[in-house]
Parts: sequence; structure tokens; C-alpha cells
Amino acid sequence: MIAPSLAPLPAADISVGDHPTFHFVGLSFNYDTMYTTVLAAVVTVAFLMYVARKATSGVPSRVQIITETVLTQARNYVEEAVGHDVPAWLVPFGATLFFFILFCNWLGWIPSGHHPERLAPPTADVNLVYALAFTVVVLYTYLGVSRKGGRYVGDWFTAKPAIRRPILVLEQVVNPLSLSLRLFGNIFAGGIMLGVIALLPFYLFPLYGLADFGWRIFDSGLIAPIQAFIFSFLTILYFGFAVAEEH
Amino acid sequence: MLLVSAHSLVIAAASSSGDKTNNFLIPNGTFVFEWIVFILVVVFLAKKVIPRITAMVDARQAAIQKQFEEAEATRARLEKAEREYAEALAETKREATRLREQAQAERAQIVEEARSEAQVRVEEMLANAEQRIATERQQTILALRAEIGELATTLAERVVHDALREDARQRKLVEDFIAGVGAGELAEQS
Repeated sequence: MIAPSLAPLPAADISVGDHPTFHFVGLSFNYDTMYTTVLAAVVTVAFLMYVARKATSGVPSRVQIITETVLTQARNYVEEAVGHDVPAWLVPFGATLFFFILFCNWLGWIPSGHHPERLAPPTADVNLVYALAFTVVVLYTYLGVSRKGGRYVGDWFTAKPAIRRPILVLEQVVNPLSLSLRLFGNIFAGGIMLGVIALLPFYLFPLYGLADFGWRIFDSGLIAPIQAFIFSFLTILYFGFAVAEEH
Repeated sequence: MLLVSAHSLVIAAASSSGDKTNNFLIPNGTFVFEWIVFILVVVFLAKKVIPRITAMVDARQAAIQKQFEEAEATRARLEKAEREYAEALAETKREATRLREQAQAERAQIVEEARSEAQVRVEEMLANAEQRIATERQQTILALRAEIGELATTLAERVVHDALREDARQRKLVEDFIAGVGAGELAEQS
């Protein structure tokens, strides 16, 4: 983020959405996103390993309760959406998505030591959200095809009433796109809000700290977990759609 | 990436018609890296870490389930014991009632038996008494008769003693009297 400006409406550049890149085998790579993604991955793995190591079947600690709640909720949603006969990886996949996205979203709190002054969450980069949605699509298509074979695609064109057919086909594009861009948009917008708050005109300068802090609390406390939840919840729902039988 | 200004963000919206390079909604090579990192995280966590936590959840749920079942079994045992107790109590009450009724019946029977036995004894005693009275009466009659005979004889002797000397008419009177006494005795015995 940039330092607060004293100009009423400065044409200062807000650097959200801009990434430092390098080129490798003809592709450009956003190394800030790569760095923050690895950081979030390490935090996620470390957190869950810590919980697993401390885990007890007796009286659980607070973090264990939180983790277990996420896992049991994921299991409930999966059983509700997909049924009891589910692949063993589905619940861990949903829970991993939740924790990974949550820690990604929270990375905005960590000071970067350079400009911008705090890390940008990797979920504010389409590359990560597309990668997540891509994985989701591949896995639910795999599950759907392995359950229903050719009918997985055939159902889109034989569904009744017929009005559903174009919608079903459209959904194959819309679902992953909306899934990823919803997450991206929310986190990206959170960063933009901080930039906009930093551009408060000078006579509102005393509000800057309050607005900045208030927004961060709202963003991290509400938007970050909600978006992580929505992403993993919808993922489980899409798995349910993929195996649902037409009646 | 598009460099967005505050104006274009706040007033208009992000415009992709800039003279810069790419739309920021288009992924680049980072996508591949992100995907690999995510897959590694998922595979590692799903295979190595999360099952351990899930196992703890299952173990706890199993323990709770077990405790619940034990509590349920205890409750069932308690209910069974209570039911048996109630049954035993009812059985005892029935038994007590039965015994009381039986005792009353026996008492009535004993009283009845005693009464009838007493009746029999009373009748026997009455019969004995009557018998004895009859016998005594008979003896008394016999004794009296013998005495009367003697008295009559004595009287007759006196009368005879005096009258024999007077006339035959008086002698006949005494003989008639004696004959009358003999006939009375015969009528009494029959």
C-alpha cells in the first residue's frame, strides 16, 4: 500500500493487480504471488501438522476444536451433497481448500518490508484462484465420469425439462469461473479498499488509521473466512452435482 | 498487468483498453506454479496429516458412542431391576392376600367344625342325660313299686289283721286293691 497522500484527489497509482514478474521458458511468472503462495502453503501445512501432532482423542485444545469443526462440517456437507459412498480424499480436499484459502486471505496482515508495505494475498491473483478452480473441475469431472461414464456428459443434453439443457452446458463454464472470480474479486477488492482509504483527502487524514484498521478487521475477520468457506462449500456442492442422478 | 489509477477504479471501472500489456483476468505462467504448489499441499495434507486429526475425531466419537451405549445398558439394567422389583412386590402382595384369604377360610372352617362338633357333643350329652333320667325314673318306679308293695302288704296285713276278724266283705276289698296294683305295674312296663 502507499503512504497516505495529502492531495485531495491524487492521481497516485494503486498497485493492486500489478505484479513484479520474471520470464521463464516463454512464460511470465508473478514472483510475489509465488512467494506468498508458498508462504501460505507452509503456514497451512505447519498449522495442520501442529494440530495433528497435538491432537488427542481426549479433551481437545482450542485449535483442535476449530480444525475438527471444519473437518466434521466438511464431512457433513460431503455426505449431504454427495452421499455416504464418497472417495476418501474428498473431505480432506474440501478442508484443505478452506484452510489454504483462509491463510492466503490472511497474508495481507504480514508486513512485507518493502513497497507495498504489506504482503498481497495470493488469492488476489487470478493465477491462484484459477489453479484452485481448475483442480476442482478436474476432480469433480473425474468423479462424475467414474460414476456415470458417458452419461455424465449425456445428461446435459437429455435433462428434462429441455430448458435446463443449455443452462447445464453453460454451467460447465460458469461454475468454475464464478467460483474462482468470486474469491479473487473479494480479496482483490479488499486490497483496493486499502488503497482507496490511503487516498483519503488530507482534511480526513485523522480518519485514515481508523478506516484502515477497521477495514482490515472487517476484511480479515469476515470476508476472508466467508470467502474461504464459500469456495470450499461450493466445491463440495459441485461434487454433489457431478454425481447427482437425473430423475 | 494493468496499472489502475484511483480515478479509473473509483469513478469508472477498470478499463482494459489501456495501452499496457495484459488484462489482469488472464492468467500467466504463475498458474502452473500455483497449481503444483496447491496439489502438493493437498496430497500431503490429505494423505499424511488430516487422517490423523480425523482419526482423533472418530476415536472420540467412538468413545462417546461407547459411553452412551454403556449408559443405555445401565439404564436398561436399572429398568429391568425396577420391573422385577415391582413384579416381586406385586407377587408378594398377591401371595399375602391369598394367605390371608386362606387363613380366613381355614378359620371359618375350624369354627364351623368346632361348632358342629359341639353340637354333636351337646346332642350326645342330651341323649345321655335323657337316657340316664329314663333309667333313674325306671329304677325309681321299680323301687317305689317294691316299696308300695311292701307298704301295701304292711297295710294289708294290718287291715287283714283287723278285718279278718270282722267280715268277709273287708277281706274282698283288700284283695281287689292288691289286684289293682298288679295291673298298674303291668300297664307301666308295657
